[in-house]
Amino acid sequence: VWAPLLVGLTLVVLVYGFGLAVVGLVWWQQRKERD
Amino acid sequence: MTSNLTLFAISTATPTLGAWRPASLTVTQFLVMVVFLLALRLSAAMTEDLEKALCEAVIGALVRSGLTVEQAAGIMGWNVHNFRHALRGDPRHQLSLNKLVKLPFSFWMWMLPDLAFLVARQNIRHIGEDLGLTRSA
Repeated sequence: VWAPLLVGLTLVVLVYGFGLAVVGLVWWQQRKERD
Repeated sequence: MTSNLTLFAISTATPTLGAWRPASLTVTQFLVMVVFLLALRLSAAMTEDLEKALCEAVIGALVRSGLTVEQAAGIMGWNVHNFRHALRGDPRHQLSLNKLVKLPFSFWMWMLPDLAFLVARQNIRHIGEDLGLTRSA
């Protein structure tokens, strides 16, 4: 019962985590360019 | 040493609720590996490519969250004309993340997976080349 839920949850965490990581990278690059 | 590391890996991957099935562990490991490879690839990614993906993701998220460009510009306190230029990828009007942060949660809920998908799509071919699965042109 738990396995599909955990896989789904992991997938959501990974996708949103990856999106956040990309946003963080762009933000860091923009900040570096501004400085 | 190796067995200790293996035990540590298994113990951290085992959930507190219920037991893992081998298939679910394999899927999770595969997903973690894909994200890890994408992160490695991203560390060498070009700024222009990332910003292009960001523009596309922002446009998609604005449509999906039901926000117009005018409304979004108003929330961010940004000139609509400049915002339109930034969305077209004009280098003189950079899409500032400090301003995008002011947009509502529904926008970010759509934007993050969209951005992840676009960046993954941009880099997946290169990862294949890196791993020797496909030949570079």
